[in-house]
Amino acid sequence: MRPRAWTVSFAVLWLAVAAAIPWALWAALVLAPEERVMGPPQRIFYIHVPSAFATYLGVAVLLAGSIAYLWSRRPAADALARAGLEVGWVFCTIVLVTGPIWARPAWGVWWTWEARLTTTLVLWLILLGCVLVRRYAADRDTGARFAAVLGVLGALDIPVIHKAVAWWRGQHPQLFGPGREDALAPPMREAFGIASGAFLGLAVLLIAIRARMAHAEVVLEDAVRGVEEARG
Amino acid sequence: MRTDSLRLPGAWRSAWRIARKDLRLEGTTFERPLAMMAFALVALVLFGFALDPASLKRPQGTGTLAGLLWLVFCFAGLVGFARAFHAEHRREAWVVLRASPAGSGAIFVGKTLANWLLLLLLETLVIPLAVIWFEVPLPPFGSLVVVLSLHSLGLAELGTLLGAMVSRLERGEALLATLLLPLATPLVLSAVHTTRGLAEARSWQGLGHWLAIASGLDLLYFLLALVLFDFVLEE
Amino acid sequence: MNRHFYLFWGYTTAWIVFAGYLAWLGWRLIRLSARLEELERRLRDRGGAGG
Repeated sequence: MRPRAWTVSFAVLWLAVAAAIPWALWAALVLAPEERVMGPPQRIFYIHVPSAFATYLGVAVLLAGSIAYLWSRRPAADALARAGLEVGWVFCTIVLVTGPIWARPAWGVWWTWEARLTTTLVLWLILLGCVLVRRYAADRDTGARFAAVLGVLGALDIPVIHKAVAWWRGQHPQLFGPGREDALAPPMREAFGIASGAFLGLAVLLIAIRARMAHAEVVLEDAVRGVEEARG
Repeated sequence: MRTDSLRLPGAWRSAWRIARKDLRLEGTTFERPLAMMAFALVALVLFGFALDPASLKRPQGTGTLAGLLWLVFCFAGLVGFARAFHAEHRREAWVVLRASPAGSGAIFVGKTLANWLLLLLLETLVIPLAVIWFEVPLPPFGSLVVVLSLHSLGLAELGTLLGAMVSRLERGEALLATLLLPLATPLVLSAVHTTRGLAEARSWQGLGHWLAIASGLDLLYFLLALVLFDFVLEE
Repeated sequence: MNRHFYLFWGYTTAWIVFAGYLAWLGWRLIRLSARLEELERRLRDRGGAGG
């Protein structure tokens, strides 16, 4: 993309997210009616589930960037994979932190070894491994390659992990899917939609920022090395 | 990427040669089997007094014992996987292995085979001990062999891929458990459940889907590792 | 009131995690610009010395 088009779309995204996040908070805390049984803690749902969507977006970017890097060895692809990984990991942390705070009043326990919780925790650990492997690598390409290998392996393993854990046990609330269209009241669904859009936009913005930064770091590092070599 | 790295039958023959070389090496030094076995022994003894023996009695202790046994296999396996590429590194044989006509696919299969057989050896030594010390109720022999081989194969595949990776990192061995165990979650789940189910019910009834997931995982890890192993070995 | 406790902490911890990441990003950015200045300085030095 041309630099100018990049700057414009970046600015538009930035403004949209800056407007959408307060809107989402308002929708979640004011617009959505209070849930009859659970009361106020149900509103955590409006940041918990959108964060999970943002996590999946990050993992998808990680997978795409990893494959692209292994294929082309372009530093930009690695920067993208790295950005998806980090942003996905941050949102995964948010999912794991808000989940128990919601579960305590809703289920009476902070944590339960249920399918989706367990899968999310394992995903968090896999992403942690991807983050760590770079720090142990001697040079940039090795770290990028190993992180990409782990990214592909981890991202493709996640559906299997979920399936396996679901066979093991399951009790997560199923709000979507066939026959579940009326589980949320219309204003709730509206608030949920706004929050999901806002969080996905936020994730895209963060991934874009982080990817540009990671790429800039690589370019700068090479430039510094070039200057040093020229000096002799 | 060398797409022809597993061309039949030469690739399988070189894979078998690599496995035989590894096993012969272990057969003379006993380095890895000893390290794995010693670790498993210590872990079993620790379980003996870290856990209340009464809680391990049948029937309610069966699940716990199946879980403990697989934990021992996983961690003892890690001890072995971390050193799977040591011989190549230490004696600078790495260059020779890479320069040989064996492609990365053949190296992966050979190394996996050696890791798998080592894991099976460990299991045949540990299980009798576990039976003596904890009265582990065992599944029927045939089904036990199937369960052990299927799940150890998946562990060996992941262990070979990630073992090769951490052997190329500085102080990377500390990382192996963190990288491998989350990825192996479905395998461990399946292993514990089939072992426990077979020990309790002594039949495959209701365990078919675990068998399917274990074989599926073996295949998935195999295909993924075959593609990804080349990127790990790259200089 | 107890139920608002969970609501409050649910939102607060989420934003703490998020703010933590933003702070880390900011730190990376500061370091990046510091290194950029360093590079510029070196290039200027070289230009002055070597012509």
